[in-house]
Amino acid sequence: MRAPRPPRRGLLAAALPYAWLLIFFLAPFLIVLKISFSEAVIAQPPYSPTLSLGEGWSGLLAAFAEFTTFNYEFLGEDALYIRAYLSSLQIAATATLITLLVGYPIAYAMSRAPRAWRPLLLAAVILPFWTSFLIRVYAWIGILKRDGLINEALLSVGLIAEPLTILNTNTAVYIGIVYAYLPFMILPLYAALERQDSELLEAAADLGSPPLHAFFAITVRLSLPGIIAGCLLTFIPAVGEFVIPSLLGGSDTLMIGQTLWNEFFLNRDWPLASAVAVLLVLVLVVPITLFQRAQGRAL
Amino acid sequence: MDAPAEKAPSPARNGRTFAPWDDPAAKPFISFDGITKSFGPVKAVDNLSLDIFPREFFALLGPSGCGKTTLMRMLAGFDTPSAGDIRLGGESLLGVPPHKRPINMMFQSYALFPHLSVWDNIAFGLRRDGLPRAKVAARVDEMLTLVQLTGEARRKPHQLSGGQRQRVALARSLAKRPKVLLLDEPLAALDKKLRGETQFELMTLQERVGITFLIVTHDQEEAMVLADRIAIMRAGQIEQVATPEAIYERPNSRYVADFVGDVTILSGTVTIAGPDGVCLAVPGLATPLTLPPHPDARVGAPGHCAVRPENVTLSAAPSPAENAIPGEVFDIAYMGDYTLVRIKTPSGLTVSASRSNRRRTERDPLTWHDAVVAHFAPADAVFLAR
Repeated sequence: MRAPRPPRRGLLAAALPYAWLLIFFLAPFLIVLKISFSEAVIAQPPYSPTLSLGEGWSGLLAAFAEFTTFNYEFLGEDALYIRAYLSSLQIAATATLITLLVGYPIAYAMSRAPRAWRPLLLAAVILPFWTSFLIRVYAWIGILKRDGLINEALLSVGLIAEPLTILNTNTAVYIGIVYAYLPFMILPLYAALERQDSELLEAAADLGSPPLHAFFAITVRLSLPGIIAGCLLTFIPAVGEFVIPSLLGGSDTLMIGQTLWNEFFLNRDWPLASAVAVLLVLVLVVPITLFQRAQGRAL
Repeated sequence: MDAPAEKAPSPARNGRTFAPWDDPAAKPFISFDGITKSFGPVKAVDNLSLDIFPREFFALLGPSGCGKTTLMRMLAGFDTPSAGDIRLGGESLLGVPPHKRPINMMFQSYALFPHLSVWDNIAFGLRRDGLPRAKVAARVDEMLTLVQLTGEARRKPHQLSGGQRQRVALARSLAKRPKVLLLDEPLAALDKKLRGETQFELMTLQERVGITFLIVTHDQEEAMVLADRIAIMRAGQIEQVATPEAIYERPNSRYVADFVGDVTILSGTVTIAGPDGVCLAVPGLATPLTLPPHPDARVGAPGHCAVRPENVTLSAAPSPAENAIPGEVFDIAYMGDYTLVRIKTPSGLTVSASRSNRRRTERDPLTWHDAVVAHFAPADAVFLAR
C-alpha cells in the first residue's frame, strides 16, 4: 500500500496545470467570447460595448445589456460560413486520414528498428521543427509550382508531357497538411507501438492467427490510443489551419481559418471574427470531448 | 473435457505402467532429429536428438542459456532450426508456420491480450478456427470450469491476480485441444505456496486431457514433481534423459548429480574396477571408497563418487565398515522436516548428511565442532566417470 502523501504538495501539483489552462486558454477565450457578443463599430477598439471597470457595477451592467447575438444569427444566415466550416472539416478529415496512412508504416518501422537506431530515427522525425514552419511551407511552393522540382523531375524522365498544376489546388493543401502534421502523428503512434510486447504477436500466431490478422487484431488494436492521439493532434489544428491554405491553396480552397482572417483583418469585423472563432471551438471541442470519454470507457 | 476415444485406464504416473520409452515398439510422437540452432557464432542448440512419446509429460531442465527455450520455440515454430528436422507424428514440421501447427504454448509472461476479457482471450484461437458461435461459447465455458475461473469471465487480465492470469493462459492454450502443449516456465511468476498447489493441478489436468505436455523449466523440483521424464540440458546438448527417479538415483555425470538435489561429490582415481565394484582413491582420505560396479570405470582413470545427503549417516564412534569418513561438524542447517549437516575432514573435503526430524521432542545431540564419522553403504553411492 502507498503511504498517504502530504496533501498540500499534491494540491499544488494539481493546481499548476489548471492555473496554466486558466491563464492561457480560458482567459483569452472569455475575451473572444465577450467580443463575439458585441457590435462592430468604426472606432478604437472596433467594437462596442467595451467593458471599463472605471464606471463600476452600473457601467458593467449597462455593457451587458448591450450584448447581442446578432453575429451568431448572421453566421447561420450566410451560407458562406457554413460551407467554410464543412469544407474545413472535410479537408482536415481527409488530410488526417492520409497522414495516418503515411505515418503508421513509418512509426511501425521505427518501433521495430534496432534499439540503437531508434533515438536517431526519432531525431529525424523531430528535425523539421528546427526550421520555421512558414519557411517550410514556402519551400513547398518551390517544389509544387509549374516549373518546380516535381514537374521538372517528371518532365525530364518523360512521365508527363505537360507540367501538372499542383500548386494552388486542394491537392497542394493536402500535401502541405500531411507534411506539416506528420510528426504529430508519428510520435504518439511510435510511443504506442514501441511499448508493445512482441510476445503477444507470437501468442496470436500460436493460437492460429496468420500474420496479417494478428497485425490488425493485436498490433493495430493495441495502438488505438496512439492512433486517436495522433489523429486529434493532426485534425484539430488542421481544421483551423490558415497558413497552408493561403500559401498553397487556390481560389476555390475554402477554409474557416482564412474566413476568420478575412473578417478580422480585411473587414475589420472583430465581433463577427470572434463569433467564427467561438463556433469553431464548439464545433471541435464538443464532439472530441464526447469521443474521448467514450474511448476512455472502452479502453 | 469430453472423453477422448483412447481414454484407456489412466496411466500410473511415475510408476512402471506408463513407460513407452522402454518399449522398442512404441512410436515417438515428437522427434528432434539432429537439431542445431546457431545465433551468429553461438550454437544455442547443438546437434540434439530427442524423442518424446504420446501423452508424456516431458521436462526440459537446465540453467538459463542452455538452449531449452530455443528448443521449445523451434517446436512452436517461432524459431527455425539451422540444421536437422523436427517431426510430429512422423511428419516434418519444418515449413509449417506457427499458426498452422497443432501445438499451443503457454508463455512465461502469459502473453494475455490486455484489451480482451478472460472470455475473449480463451475464445481467440477458437474463433480463428471458424467454429460456430455456440460451439465457441460451449468450449470457453468448459475451459473456464476446468481452471475454475467461471466468475471472472468478463474481467480484463489486469484485474486478475497472478495465479488467475496463469490459469487464463493455461485455459487459452488448452482451448484448441492441441496435440502438444508447451509450457515455458509456467509457474515461475507464482509464489512458492501457489506454485506447489498449481503443480499438482497441472499433473491432474494433464491426465484428464490426455495431451502431450512439454515443459521448460530451470527449477529442478518443478521438473521432478511434474514430469514423466526429464532431459537435463547443458550448453545446447542433452546430458541425460531419464525418469525423475533415475536422474536422482543414477545420474550419469557430476553435472546432472549436482543440478538435481543436494549431493556430495568426491573425486579421485580408480584403483580397482570389476564386476564386484569400483574402488576410488580420494586424495585426503585414508582408505579408498568402495562403490557399486560401473561399466565406464577404468583402473588408473579419474572418477567421482556421488552420494546424496539422505544416504549418509553420522556416528560419534569410528565405524568398522567401508566408506567411513572422519571429520568435524561445521554447518548445521535446520530445514523443518530434516536437518542438513555438513562435515569437513582434516584434509578439507566436505560431506553433507541429512538427518530426519521425525521425533521433534528429541533434541539433536550434534553441535558445531563435534568430531563425527560420516558413513554410507557402497550401494547407496554412484560412481561417475565424468
